[in-house]
Amino acid sequence: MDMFSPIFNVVALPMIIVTILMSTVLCNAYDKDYDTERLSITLDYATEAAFLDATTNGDIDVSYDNLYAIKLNPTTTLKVLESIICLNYDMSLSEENMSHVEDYIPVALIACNDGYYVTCNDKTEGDDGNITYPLRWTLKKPYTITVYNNNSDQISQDEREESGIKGVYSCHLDDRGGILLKAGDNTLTYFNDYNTDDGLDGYPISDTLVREAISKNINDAITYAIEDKASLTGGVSYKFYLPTENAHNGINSIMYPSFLLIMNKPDFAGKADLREAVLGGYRVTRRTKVLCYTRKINGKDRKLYCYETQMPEDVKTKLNIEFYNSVSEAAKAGYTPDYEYIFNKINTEMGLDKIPHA
Amino acid sequence: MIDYINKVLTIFMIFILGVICPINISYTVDRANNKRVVLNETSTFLDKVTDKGEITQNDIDEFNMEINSHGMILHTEVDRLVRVDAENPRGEVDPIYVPADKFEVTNTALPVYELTKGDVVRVKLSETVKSGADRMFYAVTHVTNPAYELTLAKVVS
Repeated sequence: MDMFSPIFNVVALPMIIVTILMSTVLCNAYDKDYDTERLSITLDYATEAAFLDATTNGDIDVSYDNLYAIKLNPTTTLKVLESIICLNYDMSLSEENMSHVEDYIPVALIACNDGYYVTCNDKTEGDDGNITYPLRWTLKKPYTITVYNNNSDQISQDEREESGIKGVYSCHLDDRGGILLKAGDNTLTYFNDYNTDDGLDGYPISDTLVREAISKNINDAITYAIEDKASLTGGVSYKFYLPTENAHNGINSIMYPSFLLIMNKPDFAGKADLREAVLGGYRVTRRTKVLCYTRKINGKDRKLYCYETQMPEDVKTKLNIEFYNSVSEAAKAGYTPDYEYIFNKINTEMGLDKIPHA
Repeated sequence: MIDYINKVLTIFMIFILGVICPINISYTVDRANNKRVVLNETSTFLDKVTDKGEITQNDIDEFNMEINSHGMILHTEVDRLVRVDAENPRGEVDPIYVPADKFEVTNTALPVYELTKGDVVRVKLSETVKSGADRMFYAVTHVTNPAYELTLAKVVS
């Protein structure tokens, strides 16, 4: 019994130390999770606000035959983004705080259907002789594509390059896919996958190649901006990668007016774990309208609704259709769901008349 | 004499190992969970209110009840900030967010408040009563932890 107390004390002391260490590690893990989630929510709200600003500032000039050709105005986008980040961390909206937040943004990019705006580091000398590099938007840069003598997408990029370069052209995106603007004269020529006889002077181009070229342009612009910022501010340089070889499958291709933001881990975000950077983005989508119509079911006329693209075209042309913005408006107007069609997949791809790939 | 000291030390260690440590871990884990849940609730409230485009007294009361039901006593402040653009001395146009309205929980006369697109709704939470973990920590170490605070803001879309 006399030995019990000393032995217990010798054993208990390390146990207490281990418990304290365990508690510290647990606290750190919880704090990291909380701070990461908070930063993620902040960036989500900030990119949404910035995109809303870019799309609603001024006249976006929507035309119904090309719904994705909207004008995006980036004049106050960066300031709105920084303001929302400051508000979320309870920082005052002063120039110093906004410029501090900007230090952690290597690049932001607004992709429109005919070009993109990307941020660049503008060298500025202050009144006190301090040199700073605030972010500024560039002029709108067009998407360019290098056209080779053999542009078939059945062969590899190396084989294409070996066939020789025909020229570099600027390209656009619209509801139907990619289109090319011929350099020199301003004739717009439309190319799609299914009509390879239509080509650039007999050189067929597919819209998949156009979309790949657009993704590559954006990829390169972002990579350059990250390296430029890293070389000026001494930060970490890392590679940004949008897989262009998958882009023609619709994975990760930039196909609609979008806003992309990359942010490094800021010091005001506590223990948030971002590895190197986080990417946030928003893009324009076309609202799916609700179709309301009267159809005969079991001999009785019923007022029914379903979403656009759920109903086959041959049935649609025989009905008198009214458009509503949402199902609740349709319900208030006395329409009920059409269970024959409402479970079908809604085709949200560009354009109502998209021809499915063969 | 040494035996006596050992026995006292043993009892002290038993108390720390058996009482203080488990309570500390339990309080810490609870508080961390509560903080995360409060963050989620606040984010849900902001998403709901900015999506709807209006704030009703019911929304504020429900939100206040939800965040106070996780073990922390929090004071809620919901503000509406209006965006105004002004020219700065360099000739550039800057967006500025100006506080317009404050929605207090006790403001029973608040009607349904319509929000304009572009306005910002900001929620500020601050802990008014110290949690059990903080009080225990203070009792043992005489170190005060800062009170919990959270600010989130979202633009009305």
